[in-house]
Amino acid sequence: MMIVIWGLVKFVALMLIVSVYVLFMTWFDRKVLARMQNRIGPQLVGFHGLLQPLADTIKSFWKEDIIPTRSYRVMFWLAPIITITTAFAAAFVVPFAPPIKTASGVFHFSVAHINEAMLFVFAFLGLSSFGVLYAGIASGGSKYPFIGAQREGAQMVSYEIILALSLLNPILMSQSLNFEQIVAAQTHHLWFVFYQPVAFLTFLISMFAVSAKVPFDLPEAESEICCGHFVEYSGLKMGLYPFAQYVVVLVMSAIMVLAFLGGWTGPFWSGGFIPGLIWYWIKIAFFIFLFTWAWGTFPRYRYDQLMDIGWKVLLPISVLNIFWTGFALTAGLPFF
Amino acid sequence: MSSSDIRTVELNMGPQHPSTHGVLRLILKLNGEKVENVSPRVGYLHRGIEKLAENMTYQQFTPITDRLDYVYSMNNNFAYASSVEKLLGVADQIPERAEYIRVIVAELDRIANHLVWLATHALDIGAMTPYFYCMREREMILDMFEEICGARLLYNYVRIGGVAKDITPRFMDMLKEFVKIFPEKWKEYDMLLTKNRIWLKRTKDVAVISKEDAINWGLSGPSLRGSNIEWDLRKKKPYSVYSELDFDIPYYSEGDVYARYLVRMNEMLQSNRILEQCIAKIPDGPTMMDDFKKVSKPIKPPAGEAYGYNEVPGGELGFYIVSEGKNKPYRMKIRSPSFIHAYAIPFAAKGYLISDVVAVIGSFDVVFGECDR
Amino acid sequence: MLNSKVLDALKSQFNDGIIEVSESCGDQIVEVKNDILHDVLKFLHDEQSFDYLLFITALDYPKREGKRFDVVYQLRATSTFDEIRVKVSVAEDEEVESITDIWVSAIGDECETYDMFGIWFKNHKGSGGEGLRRALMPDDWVGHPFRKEYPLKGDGFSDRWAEKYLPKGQRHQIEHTRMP
Repeated sequence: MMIVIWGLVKFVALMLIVSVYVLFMTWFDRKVLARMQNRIGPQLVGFHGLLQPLADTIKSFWKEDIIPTRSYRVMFWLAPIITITTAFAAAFVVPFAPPIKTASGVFHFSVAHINEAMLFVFAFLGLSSFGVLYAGIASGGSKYPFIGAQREGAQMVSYEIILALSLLNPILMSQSLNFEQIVAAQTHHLWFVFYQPVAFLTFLISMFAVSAKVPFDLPEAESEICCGHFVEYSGLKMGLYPFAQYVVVLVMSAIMVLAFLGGWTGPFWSGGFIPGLIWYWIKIAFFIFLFTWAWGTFPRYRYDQLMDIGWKVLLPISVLNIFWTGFALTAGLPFF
Repeated sequence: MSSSDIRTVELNMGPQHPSTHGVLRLILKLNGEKVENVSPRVGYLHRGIEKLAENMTYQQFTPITDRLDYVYSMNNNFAYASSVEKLLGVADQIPERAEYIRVIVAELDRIANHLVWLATHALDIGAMTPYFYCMREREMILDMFEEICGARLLYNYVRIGGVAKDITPRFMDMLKEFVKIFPEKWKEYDMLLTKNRIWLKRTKDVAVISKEDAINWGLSGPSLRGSNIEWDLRKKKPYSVYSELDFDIPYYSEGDVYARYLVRMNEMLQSNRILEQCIAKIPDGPTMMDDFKKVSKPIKPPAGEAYGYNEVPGGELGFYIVSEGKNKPYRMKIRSPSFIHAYAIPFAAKGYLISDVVAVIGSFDVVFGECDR
Repeated sequence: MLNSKVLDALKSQFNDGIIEVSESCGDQIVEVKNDILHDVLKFLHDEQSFDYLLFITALDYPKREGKRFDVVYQLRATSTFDEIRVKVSVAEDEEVESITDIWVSAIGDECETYDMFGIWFKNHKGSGGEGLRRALMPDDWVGHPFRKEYPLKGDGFSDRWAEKYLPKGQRHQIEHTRMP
């Protein structure tokens, strides 16, 4: 009984935290981009436009919800729901704070503390592309969503592999799929980024591709295929797609920090003055900022070039890197 | 699967599309992402300007030329005025100060157009930030135009026989300031794009146009100069005072989108060079021929016909005017570079991907006020 | 100006077909017969290095005796910068040979000339192999707007239509404010 209640409490807390984070994130994105582009950004609603996202949300509630007559209604409704649900589901297993030791045991700050957390995240990130695929097909023969869905499908298939292969190295080194144990393994080693710089880089690149952000925002390239899969969507349903994307960005940043940058452990010179929670969120915030930074800097890759990078460059490198890690671990090389 | 089982998808790109720069409609036949055939449809902005010209006096038509390519209105005015002057046979009697002012505003407008082009071209390929940097400098130019003629977009400033008003000392100060800071600002765009890996990947070897094709397709201006052709009307057939000014024609041999990008980027610097020389050389004197000071006095060219042309930022803008000795032209044909470029897009974009179609449209710099007339 | 060599070559090649050679405002004009037009342009393109087509257009002389339209071709030699204007007179029901096989840039201009004047170009071949069609006006448009008799102003019918369907406040706006 206790587990169920705590689970519900954690679930509600996660929903609230993530929703507030997404609201704040849209403001942050716009503000940072504006700074990079000699603009001011949202300024009028609230202090420095902080309430702007709220105003946008309220506005999107009142927008007319258009459903094309030729669309497949059920799938059309289902598509954004799948996207948002799977994105949240992926966030369930991600710890949002370091675990606390209490009298009755260890308290974990993730909705579901399971040993196969990494696999769970992969599974649901993979499923989240189904929402986009459904949107493309459900739009009733509308061609831009169809092309967008095609691109999303191809991009997900190729980059999920690289994502998984590059995360295999920390998993091999820590002998665990559990995030807390991966972090624990990094406390007696150095952070894994120092052992696995190549895996770090491949993960960094595929992170952008999986969350479909610039320079890999092909499924929704607004200047080529007019925002791709959500051409036919409007109002709140359309708002769910960017919402889900921001959640994925958060999950990816968190995994990045947990797997390669030591999670809530500070760097070795920090000495423990700053609590782990703050270290953890500083690192996550940096990667979230990185997404915005790339958005303001890079042009967009082309479809075939994206595939080339994925299959011809990153995949061989990742595979070779796994061989190297396995060799180093079995041979017992120093520092491993 | 045999080839007959493969179905091509017909995609309507435009007229409402973020990167068709107005109202171009391209009907693409797609095999996956690959473009197999392109068919352009223009005319969504057709206003019958050539018909209007037949029912207006020559001076009345000057403000209409603003509406051709609304991004470089000064150049349109200039091209129209010099065509009418050619028809009248007074091309060599324009006061020298007026000619210098024309060159100054034309070159400023060329920079402004190329800034808009760079902004939108970069946005099409996915880089958002250059847009705002370009608009910042364009704003300075528009402020300068506002100072001399009161308008920011449609100027009606270069008139038949000279220019509407003399330039003010404040304009000269602003111009000197602009000429000084522009090369530094130019480096910012250059830094963001020219050596950017993704930019190179997106633009190099895309839509390669050979020298022969470029001439046969009727390309002009920077689009032509990207294909290893050193052709600039300002240099080859100097009109106005361009023969007294020292500048280079940037041209590149690759013929791809990147070459056309480099041509336009370097043209901005060359225009800046021309402006520097104009500031030093501009003489005092009248700015309008006495005959044309009154707009109400009708111009009656002798019967005959003339084709006058100028090098505008988009290419060669020409006015073919047929006069029957009346105060209105009998027929006026506008040779607009955008129209011909729009019909060259299918040949350039065939066999590339959807993303490249967008890059090709951007690299030709088509604007539909002029294309559809 | 255009060197006389080109004109001499033209005259010796097509002695009967050349109707008139004139000059206006420094531009060289050659008037030819309709049946040799394609040959003349091909000769100019292949043998006289006029490799650049500037524009194609038409002039409408409804009151002229004989043939009504003049189709105008402006050519340029990129090597020497010579320019030449070739004119051909055609009647309303007469066809002109298309030159899209010589210059690709003629596609748009021929479509536009057909659209605006109703002059049909034979053997026109577009970028995808399609035939001549309207360039600027909608495909189902009736009439050719740049003909001299074409009205500048819409007829009463379209005004009545607007009165019927426009919202109340906008009705007065559609009146033509200015007679051109």
